[in-house]
Amino acid sequence: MRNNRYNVLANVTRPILSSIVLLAATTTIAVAQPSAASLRAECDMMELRRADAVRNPGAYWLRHHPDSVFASLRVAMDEERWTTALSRLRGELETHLENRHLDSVTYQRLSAELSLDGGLLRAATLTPKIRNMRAAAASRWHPVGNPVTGEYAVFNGPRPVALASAATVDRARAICWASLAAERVLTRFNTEARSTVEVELERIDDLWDGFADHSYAQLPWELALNAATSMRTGNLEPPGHQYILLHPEPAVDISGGKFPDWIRSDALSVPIFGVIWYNPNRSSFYGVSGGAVLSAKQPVGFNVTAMLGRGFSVGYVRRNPKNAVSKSGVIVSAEVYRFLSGIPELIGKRKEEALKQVMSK
Amino acid sequence: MRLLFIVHGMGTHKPKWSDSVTQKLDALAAQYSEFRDGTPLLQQVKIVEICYDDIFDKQVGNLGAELTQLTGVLKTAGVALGKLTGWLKHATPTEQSFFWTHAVDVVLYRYVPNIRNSVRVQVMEQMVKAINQARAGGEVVEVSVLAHSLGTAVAVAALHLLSTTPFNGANAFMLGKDLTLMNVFTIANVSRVLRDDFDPYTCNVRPATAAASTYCARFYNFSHALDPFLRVNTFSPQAWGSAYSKTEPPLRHLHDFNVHGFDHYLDHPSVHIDVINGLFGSPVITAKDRLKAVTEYPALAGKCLPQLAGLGNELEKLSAATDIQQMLIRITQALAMGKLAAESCSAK
Repeated sequence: MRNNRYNVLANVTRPILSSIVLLAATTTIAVAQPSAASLRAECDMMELRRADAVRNPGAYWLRHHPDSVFASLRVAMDEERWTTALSRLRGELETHLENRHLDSVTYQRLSAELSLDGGLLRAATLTPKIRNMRAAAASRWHPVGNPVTGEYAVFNGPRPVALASAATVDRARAICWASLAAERVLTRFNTEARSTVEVELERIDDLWDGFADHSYAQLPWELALNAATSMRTGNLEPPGHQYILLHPEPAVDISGGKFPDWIRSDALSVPIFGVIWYNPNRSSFYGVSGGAVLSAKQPVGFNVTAMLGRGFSVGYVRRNPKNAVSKSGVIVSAEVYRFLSGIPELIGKRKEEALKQVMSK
Repeated sequence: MRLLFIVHGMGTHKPKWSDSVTQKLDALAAQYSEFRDGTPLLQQVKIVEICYDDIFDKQVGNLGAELTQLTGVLKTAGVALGKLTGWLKHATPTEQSFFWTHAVDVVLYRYVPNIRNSVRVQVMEQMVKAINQARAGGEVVEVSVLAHSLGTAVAVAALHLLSTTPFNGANAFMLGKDLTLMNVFTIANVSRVLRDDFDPYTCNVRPATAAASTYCARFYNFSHALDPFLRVNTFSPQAWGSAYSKTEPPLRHLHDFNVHGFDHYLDHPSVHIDVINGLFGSPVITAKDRLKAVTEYPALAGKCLPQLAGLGNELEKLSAATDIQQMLIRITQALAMGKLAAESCSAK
């Protein structure tokens, strides 16, 4: 049948034959040229896998599929033999060049880009620890599709390796599959460095949680002062110290005599200036401030106060002895006062209970 | 895998806040043959919601929602707030309510550095965690961000910091390394008006055609002519090239009483088709289908058309804001107008 056809063709005039051959050739090229949709099937990893479920690209291309290349390197990557991975990726490009799926210019460009990664991969093979810190430029290998034209570009930016919709399937596969394989290997290479970032961000986020729950409250002018003095650009951690400025707080003023002869009065402690320092995980702070004490039963006094966390604050007060019950006293936060005044009560209660027990025997 | 981070704007956003946006996007995609006859959108795109509203909640709680104290914060931050506080004193209860539930987030983010940094760290952490999970074992993942309103400023800032900061010495997420975003979709972009320690026009979160090295391939800016949020310091970068896309002219449709709403923007074909095609890096919804959808999309639709038209007229009359204070007043007024119109609609 086929021979008969060729016999007929052999009898037609030369120009007609030429036209038919030319038509056949262009038809072949047209079949090999993927539309935008099929470029997506070669360059979009998700689409590529989806398309693979219903097509068989043949033994040659199956060997060069990005997932096949990646799988063949799994052991080398597990053993940190990154130069082996690099050699295989370079081998991919060479094979595509030999089979004319890549032109020499594109080959040289892809090969040069691979060389840029080579230094890092070689260093990581010698010193695996550096992978925790130094990541490879994996993202540049990703084929980026154009949502309007459907065309793709690897090394998207000022000097892309572009894949126009007229590209052949073989060229699209050679460029996109090799790039996707390189991206996968380098993405795997970056795993440790990505994890390091995640762990560090979790740590900083925990610090902010601690800061929000346990920090010393700031009044508006303190927010402004602290923002201006301690929040530097680029420092993402919560502040390690904080200034206190004119920050009135309720307190309990205790002066005169010993317990239980204390003169207790409600007071307003007004630290004029102070500094607090946070512990490393921002769950508490300690600090010192100096300021004035305004009390209902005593003249104005001046104090130095020590703070520990939100609830604990104890200060020494000095007053002019002329009008004061005593020239010195202490101010404590309400929590501290409850604690101090509660202990003797508790001791008395325990004594009473013990006495009852003894009496009942 | 395709990963889409959805970042919320101002207002209350509890976990699972993005469910409505996700369902909306899926339903919109299902109108087109690629998804109606093929694989549904949500089977091809993993959506990860980003949440940072808890930080504002805590802070508003700490401040006791006291106007005087908040005013103090802003005054000492170097901002004269005469207009805002003056207006708020005479605002209607609905307007006051919207101020405290919505606009205060913007105020706190812009003027309180501790809150701003805390929000950015939380957003970075959520993104990095999801990316690392998706990339486990060397998987290829295309990452995109869809941010709304205040979320545009938050997302751009968080991504810029991620691209410039080594964390504990590791440079994985720095510019040109492991991550280049495929798309940054911004809806009602306010990153310019809320800019502080860096300029959104020159930061790393620009499209590939804007500079030699950038953190995203494509950048989209969707705006609405009646959205009061966009009437001061409009986001309008110059010479960002062909990978920057904006709605030109801005949208004008009215299908909902909340013009500024995430869903309201997304509903328009000019928005959701660009988002979907951007996600796939391919015209999965063809130019012909896009043109048809945009042409057939009515300018006014929904329940209670007279109320919607009335709201449109009211919004049109709102004068353009000249500064951030006026912008906050306008957005609060617009939200209150929308609520009144919606109430009037339900009463009928």
